[in-house]
Amino acid sequence: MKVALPLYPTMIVVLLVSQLPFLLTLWYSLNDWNLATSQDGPEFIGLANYAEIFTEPEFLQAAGNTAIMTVGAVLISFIVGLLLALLVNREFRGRGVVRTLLIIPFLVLPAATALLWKNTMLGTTYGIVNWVIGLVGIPPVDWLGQHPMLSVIIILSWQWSPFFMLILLAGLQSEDPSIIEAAKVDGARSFDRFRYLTWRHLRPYSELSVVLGSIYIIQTFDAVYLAAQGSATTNLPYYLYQRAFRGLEIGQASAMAVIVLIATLIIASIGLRVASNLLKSTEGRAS
Amino acid sequence: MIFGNPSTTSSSPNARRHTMPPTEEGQFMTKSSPAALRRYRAVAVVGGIAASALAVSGCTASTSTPDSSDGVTTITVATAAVPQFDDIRELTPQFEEAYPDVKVEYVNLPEDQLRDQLTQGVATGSSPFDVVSIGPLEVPLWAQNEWLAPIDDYLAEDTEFDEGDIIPAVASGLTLNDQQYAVPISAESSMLMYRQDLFDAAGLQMPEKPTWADVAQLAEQIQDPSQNLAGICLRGDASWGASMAALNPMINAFGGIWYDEDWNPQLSSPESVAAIDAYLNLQRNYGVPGSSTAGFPECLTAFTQGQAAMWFDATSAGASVENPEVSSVVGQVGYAPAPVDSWDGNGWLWSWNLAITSTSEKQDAAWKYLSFFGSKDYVKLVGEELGWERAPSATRASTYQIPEYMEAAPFAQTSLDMVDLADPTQHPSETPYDGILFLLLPAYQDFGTQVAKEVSDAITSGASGAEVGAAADAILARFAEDNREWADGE
Repeated sequence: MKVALPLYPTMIVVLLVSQLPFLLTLWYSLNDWNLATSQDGPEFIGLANYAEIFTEPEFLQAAGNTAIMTVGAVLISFIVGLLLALLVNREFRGRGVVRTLLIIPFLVLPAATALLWKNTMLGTTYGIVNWVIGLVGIPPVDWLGQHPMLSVIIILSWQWSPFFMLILLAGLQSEDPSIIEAAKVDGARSFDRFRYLTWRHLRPYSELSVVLGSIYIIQTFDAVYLAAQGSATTNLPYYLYQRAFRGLEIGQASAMAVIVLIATLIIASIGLRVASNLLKSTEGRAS
Repeated sequence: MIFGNPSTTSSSPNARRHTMPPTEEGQFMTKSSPAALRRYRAVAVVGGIAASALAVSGCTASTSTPDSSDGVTTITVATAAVPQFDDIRELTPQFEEAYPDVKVEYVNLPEDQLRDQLTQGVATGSSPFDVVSIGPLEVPLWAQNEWLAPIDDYLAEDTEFDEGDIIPAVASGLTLNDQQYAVPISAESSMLMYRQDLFDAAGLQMPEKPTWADVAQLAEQIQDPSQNLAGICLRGDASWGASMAALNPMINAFGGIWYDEDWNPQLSSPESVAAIDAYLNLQRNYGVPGSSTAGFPECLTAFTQGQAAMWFDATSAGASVENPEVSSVVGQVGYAPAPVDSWDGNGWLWSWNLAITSTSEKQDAAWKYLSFFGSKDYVKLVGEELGWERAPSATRASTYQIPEYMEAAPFAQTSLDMVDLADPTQHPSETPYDGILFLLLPAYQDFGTQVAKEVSDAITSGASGAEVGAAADAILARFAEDNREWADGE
């Protein structure tokens, strides 16, 4: 093994900056420490915080909500992203403008997105969505009150579809047009060409977009905090925030952070494997 | 990721090592290729919730020396996004003219965010603020944790301030062990506002002392969905400052309490359940659209734009209702006392106050700020500059001797009466805690919010009062031991 001496100072800094806070979190998670009431500071209690978390219905509900929210938003974003990618993969006049416009939701600040949807789009009295459904005679719906989870999923899908579109579009662009041409000559219908050729070619890109999208959407905070607070939409990041800053339960919140970290790492490691497979296969094709 | 945010707190000079539990962000960046993207995302998330904290920590870093060389002291003040503080910010140039050696920088946040930010800052000793705006829930608790600086010495020196003029019910909530910790800039109880013109047109009469049953009946008769007119607006958002602010006075009115003397949860008692049912009935059947997400600003808009015939809220709302700049119903509103049921000592008591943090190195300049905006002269200044209906209400007895104020503010007498009536130490039956709008316990922010969620969810889910009460009691039971320990430890 080679010793790359000049790299070590950098590595030490990186380790300190990235791992020290984590070690502190681990330590806090073993303590009973409430900022408002623990006058004597942290008190070591072992794994009691972890035991408490897993028996707490709120935590389990928040975990369930996180799963529903993530799966729902990823699914919708993927389908919408795929349709958009297929659309802008075609040649037509103004394609560049359309592509740019479609990416915009991804570039809007998440906090702005949440407030925009809460007030301008989903507002009960003045919201655009209610105005539109009012045109066909549907009475106004209290979106955020009656359907909080659906509302959050809609907001997230709007925000993340462009991300899926970008990855899938990259996949479509890398498809060899001569194969499609050959299939056309052989008389394959357009749906079959998609199903048997394009879809297969897209598979690694789909996997990558789903894994990356899941990692991002699992962390959703803005949409919940700003647009739809309530038990029905409380996901893990928001619940963690509440435990830490409303409840000031630093020990308990740290334990939750550790659990969320482990869950995210599992998904992330799947993601890394997908990404490296993708790299390998493109390299293989290039050579 | 929301904690992976060390820059917001630890860059502040007083930050202790323990500022905040970090999370996976740091971990992840060392291992994965999408780290850069992820970092932007994390920054964006953090930015969304803590933009102001970032700004603040930035500015503390630059102003951490007690006095700058030119003799001008800059103090940082945290204010809540409520109309009273909008007035204060608007009149700050007058303050800076009166005290040329003090400059003021503001951080303005919505109530809930403000509370989170402040608690987190003062609890970790990293608060960048010299002056904080807080309520009577925080003052004694924070004073006990030594997060606030007592102001008795300043009060003794500053004879012009005349603290004896402050309304006693308000002043007594701002003390701990006979030491004063804050100056009120606005105080309020609750009252029922109603559209006199609509009531007259419909031939309806508001009783002099309405009950909640009267209110439900009136709401049914006055509401007109075809005209987009709701019967009543009540706060319903899932936070203790929203749905619980509306429900707590009702629980009091119906004779309910939160804990009995042995710290047994009491929100599923028949009295409490009756109150919750009455609240849910009003919200579901006569409330404004989206009532489960309505807070003070939403109700203010609905009522002043003619979309609600009644509004039960803080007496301080009158200032906005009678302000022609924001209200289209000026002069058409009647004011009734907070509705009652079996117990009539209810209502709520809340005040907005200015206090000096114990970590501030500019306490002398901070006191100048407190004494200016807590003074009698400031009441007159608001009256003359911004309109008398906006003058700070229920902080000083002398305010109610100003004829211009009494004329411009038709809600003034109701407001004063309700504040006088509100006594946070009195409950329908004996309780081990104080407080009628909130429970004076450090964990109330926490369990109050959890109960508020249950209530807010029930508006749309259709859960019964008994179900909400049972769920609330389960939450209260979990906190009972902590609450008892804290109360006994005093």
